[in-house]
Amino acid sequence: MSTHRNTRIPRITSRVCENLQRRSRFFGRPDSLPQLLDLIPEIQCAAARYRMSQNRGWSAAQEHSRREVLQSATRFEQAASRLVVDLRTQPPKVPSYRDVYDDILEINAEFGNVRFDRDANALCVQTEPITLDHIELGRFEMQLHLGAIAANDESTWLRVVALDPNPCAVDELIVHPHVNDERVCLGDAAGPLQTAARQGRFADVFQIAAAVLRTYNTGSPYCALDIWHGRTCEDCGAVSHDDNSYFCEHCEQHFCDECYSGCVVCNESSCASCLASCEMCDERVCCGCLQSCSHCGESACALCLEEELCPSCLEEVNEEEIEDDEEEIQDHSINQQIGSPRERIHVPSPRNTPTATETLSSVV
Amino acid sequence: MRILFINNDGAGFADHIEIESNMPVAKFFAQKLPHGRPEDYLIRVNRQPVSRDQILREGDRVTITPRKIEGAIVS
Repeated sequence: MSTHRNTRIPRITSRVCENLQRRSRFFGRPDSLPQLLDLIPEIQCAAARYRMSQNRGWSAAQEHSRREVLQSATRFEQAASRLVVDLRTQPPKVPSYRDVYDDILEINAEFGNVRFDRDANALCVQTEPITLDHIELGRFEMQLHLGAIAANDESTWLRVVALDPNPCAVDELIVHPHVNDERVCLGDAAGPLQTAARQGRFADVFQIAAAVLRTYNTGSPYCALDIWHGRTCEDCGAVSHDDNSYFCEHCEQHFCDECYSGCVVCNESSCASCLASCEMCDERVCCGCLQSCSHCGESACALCLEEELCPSCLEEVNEEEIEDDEEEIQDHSINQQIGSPRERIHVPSPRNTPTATETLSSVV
Repeated sequence: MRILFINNDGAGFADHIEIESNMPVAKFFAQKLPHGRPEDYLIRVNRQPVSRDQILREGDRVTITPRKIEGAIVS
């Protein structure tokens, strides 16, 4: 076992050191130098044409070549400025083989499973199984991509891969409250982690990254842990905890309590989309309790229908009946007038007040 | 006495600093992170976990790393 460790750690150290040397060469050979050197022939040619036009007195050509020299000189000046900035930037100090070896040993002692992924060119370390707020998120592999460090690409330095993924209900790429699509939102750790990576302090990088993974910041997660196993409402898209999520048996989808209600008639629960709206009272009602007015055919809930009639049709029918009654009474009273002119009779009022009493003369 | 101090709290830095001789780790921590609690930090001397009364020596490498750091979405 110790022999295996003795060969494995130096091998990993060698790979890391090779990458650090490459990074050192990158910083020691800025791109601005060849760009500057490439401009020298261009400015020489433009200057030669300018001199020739001056000597021969070609005024138009002289003005044209003067502008060419000016443009070339401006580009040369810009390239020279970039080179000065690049040369003034201190390349990061390359840690010694011993420093890297000690770092790898420290990582191995703390996490116990350091490895070097040659394909990804990354130093990889596994965490212990992580549980936050009683939610088991499993183990994670932290991958420090040395090529990205060499290219100074901070966005891809560190990747975190879930080894026992337990993603949130909303998005399967969110495997930790602070990890989305293998990227960690470092928050407070960004500064110290980047400093440690630039200085080649790999043990510190992994300890800082692990500290982020072991901590839950309720203020800014990709997905809050209290709705980790929650469901997305099919209507409004809100994520609700299981206790506040409802299943509609009609459309077989989950909804939040805001988008889930019941029929006003039979109280059967359903999502808002599966409930119809009563055209009379505007209340939500299930299909079973939605009926049609036998007179006008409008949809209405059972509470709004009376004798299979909607309120407006019911009123209309009542008025027609009253008018029929009035006509009948009139015919009857005319017949009575011939026999007994002062006879008092009861007449239902047109406004549906059946106790109204009028004399025969007033009716006539 | 000169030691290498690596502070992974805040912005993070690593530098050689001068400290008084025979300083225990607990006193060093109290000086450098007066508002911090030692149990919230991983304190290592020469890459090894140490007790709070260990005396620091010339050339020691002291690393202080928070045990918990809050991640956050960059806004």
